[in-house]
Amino acid sequence: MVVVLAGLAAIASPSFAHHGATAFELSEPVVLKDAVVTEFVWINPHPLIKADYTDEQGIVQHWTMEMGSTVSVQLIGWTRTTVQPGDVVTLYVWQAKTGKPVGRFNKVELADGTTMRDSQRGADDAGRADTGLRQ
Amino acid sequence: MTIATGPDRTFLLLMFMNIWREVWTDGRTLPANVGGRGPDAHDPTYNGYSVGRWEDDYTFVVETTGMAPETWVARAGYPHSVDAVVQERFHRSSKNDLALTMTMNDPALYTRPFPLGEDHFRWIPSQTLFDFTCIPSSVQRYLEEMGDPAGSDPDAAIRDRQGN
Repeated sequence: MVVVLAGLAAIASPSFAHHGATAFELSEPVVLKDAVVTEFVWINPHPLIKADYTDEQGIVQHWTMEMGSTVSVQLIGWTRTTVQPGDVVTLYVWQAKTGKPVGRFNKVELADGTTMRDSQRGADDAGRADTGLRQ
Repeated sequence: MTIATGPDRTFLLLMFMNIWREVWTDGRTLPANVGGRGPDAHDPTYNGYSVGRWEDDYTFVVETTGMAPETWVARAGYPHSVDAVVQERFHRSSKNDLALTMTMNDPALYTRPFPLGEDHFRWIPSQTLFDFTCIPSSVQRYLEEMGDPAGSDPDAAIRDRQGN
């Protein structure tokens, strides 16, 4: 059987977000300055960045944040080693409304000055400006 | 998504969960007796039974029925019967652009056909297919470390409030 193949990529479309973002506070990101990455879990449905952040009182918070699927973030340059345990980075995260130290990843400033963003919520306004998001 | 076109079938290949959908283009009609009794009855399936035809040189129309009634349609979660028919119109508006519009027709539950939405695709020559499989152990880990703390488990919220 002769088969003709055509590869396609979906362009930004609300119907492709496979779960919503109502669990996260999208008005302002929490900034974790000089956090230390403890693990980068390269899984689906969402890779997880785990990092320890020391606040002004010297208390260490253990954060976990999800980002877009391995497929969607690979399309914008991510690999399984973009962040690694021990990396000192500044993380921006849309915290869960439960108040726990978990949330949706927004962007990370790496030690070499590079900024890497999330595939879906990587804009500084979480994409509110152009998605017609009703929050 | 990759579209694989053969002489009597077209396959829609989704990286997500390695899903493939089989669309028969040999002129057959949709099965009539899905979920019924008798030797000609088909079993309901998650992807349904699809047939496709070319309406013009740039428009491929797929109709699907026999979808398991426990599934939901669209993010709004519309219920549907096993006899619902979803029509997908794949229209190539320019060399690199494909628009997909979807319509639900289910007289058993709805008074008229209604739109399910529109998606847009860009052609990627020599596309590499990425792994996008949700392994159960990975999903469990995701829920334990991310989903439940973020509130995906309503029972967990109740236990928290009760101090358990």
